Amino acid sequence: MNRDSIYTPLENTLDQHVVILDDDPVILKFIVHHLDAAGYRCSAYENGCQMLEAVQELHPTLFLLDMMMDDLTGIEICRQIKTHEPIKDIPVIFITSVTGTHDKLNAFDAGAVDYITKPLNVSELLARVNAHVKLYATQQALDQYVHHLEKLAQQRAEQLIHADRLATIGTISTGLAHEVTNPATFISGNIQTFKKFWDVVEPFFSQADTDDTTKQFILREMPMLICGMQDGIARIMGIVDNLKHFAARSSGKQTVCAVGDCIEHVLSFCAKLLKQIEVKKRIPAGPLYIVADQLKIEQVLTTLIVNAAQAMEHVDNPKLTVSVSSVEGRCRIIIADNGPGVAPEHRGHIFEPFFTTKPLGKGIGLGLSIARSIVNEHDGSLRLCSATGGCFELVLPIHRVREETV
Amino acid sequence: MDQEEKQRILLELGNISESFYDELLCEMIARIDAKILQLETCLKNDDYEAISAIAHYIKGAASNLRIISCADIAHEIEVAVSRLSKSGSTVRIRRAIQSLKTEIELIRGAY
Repeated sequence: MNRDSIYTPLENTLDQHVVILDDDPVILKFIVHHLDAAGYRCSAYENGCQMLEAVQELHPTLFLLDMMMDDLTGIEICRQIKTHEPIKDIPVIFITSVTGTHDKLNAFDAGAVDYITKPLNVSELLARVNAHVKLYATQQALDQYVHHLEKLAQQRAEQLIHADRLATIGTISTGLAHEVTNPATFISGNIQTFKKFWDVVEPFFSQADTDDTTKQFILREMPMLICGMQDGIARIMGIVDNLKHFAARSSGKQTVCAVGDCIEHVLSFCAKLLKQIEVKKRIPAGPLYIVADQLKIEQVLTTLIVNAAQAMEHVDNPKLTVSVSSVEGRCRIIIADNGPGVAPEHRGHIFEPFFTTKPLGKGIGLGLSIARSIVNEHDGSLRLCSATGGCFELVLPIHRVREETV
Repeated sequence: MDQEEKQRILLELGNISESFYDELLCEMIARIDAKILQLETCLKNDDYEAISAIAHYIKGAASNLRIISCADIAHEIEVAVSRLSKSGSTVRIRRAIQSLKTEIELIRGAY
């Protein structure tokens, strides 16, 4: 027999601690000799009570128990192990010269996972120890994974609740936008009428026979007030328009649309978010057309721009660059920021659903995965393309016919 | 035990070294010496249950080191105890204990 063949190395056996109990010191020495050679850490005991006292500190991965002992029987010790919470899952193998079926059944009934009979066959002993240690390690890894999945499921449930709330807000927004439009239109019309009235009244008022400071103040301030009200209502109408546009359900219909318009629309929608950010646009003079579901493509651009803006929250002189170019018959849109970029360990996961590095409530980790699926639907590609800063490349097919006919 | 037989045992025990085997054997003989004394005491006290347990221990210890002669004698003691209720005679047990002592002396002499 080749000596190496019986010591088939198991990964990280040094992390594995085998506790052996046998009242025969000779057999203990023999087993320890072989397990030690196979790379296991071993603790040997001749007395069951002593072993049970020490076991708390040992953190074993496997027990090898003799069946017939002077103090407690192996069966009794096994039962105690199996009722003690921190160690109850650790596998127990009996090593004994008791070979009766009844004894074997008793051992398994007490919680043993295996039963090896003496005289020992070393290869068999090592093979069984290896198998059970591996099984236990796998079981522990599975338990940890289940625990991780349970935590993840709980997290996802919270995120879904959040997503549901966002969806509800989206629905409410549509109604709200509609409700705001009516009074806003009314106010806008009245401001125009008021301005006309003031244009008529103002000359009479200025020629009036009074020369007090209040009149002067009214004459100076009134045009500015009217102008301010017009600006204000125009902004309200603009926000409402954007909100209606964004919250509108996609028709699913693809039409010819200009990439520049999509970008302008999204930048306008995100204007408030980009207030403190220097935005550079590199858009070619001639329009580039794509055939797309415009709302969906705008949703993709919004995701990329919002992510970029959020990534630059703590950056001095934040800069966002939106570049559009035509490369080999495809429209290439680059959205880059000078934020910290995507951490290397996250780069492979950012397009996975529910992957997010944002705190709870700031994002649910669906934006990029949805964005990529939308882009794929359009026969395009979306990828992260920089090692430093955030830079995403969105590529979509150019609509040539339209380009020629427009 | 000739050299060839010993090499076979060393191989069977996981290719352990001869010195390690001799060390284990020495310890085993010392343990069996003590157990033989216990056997004799138990026999005087008619404690056959203890005799059976001790014989079982000797059988296991000897067979682990492949000292089959000792293991066989220990098994003989176990069988003799189990048949005691039928025969009522302890002669077989006494004889087997004596054989065990002789066999141990032989092994001790050989090492």
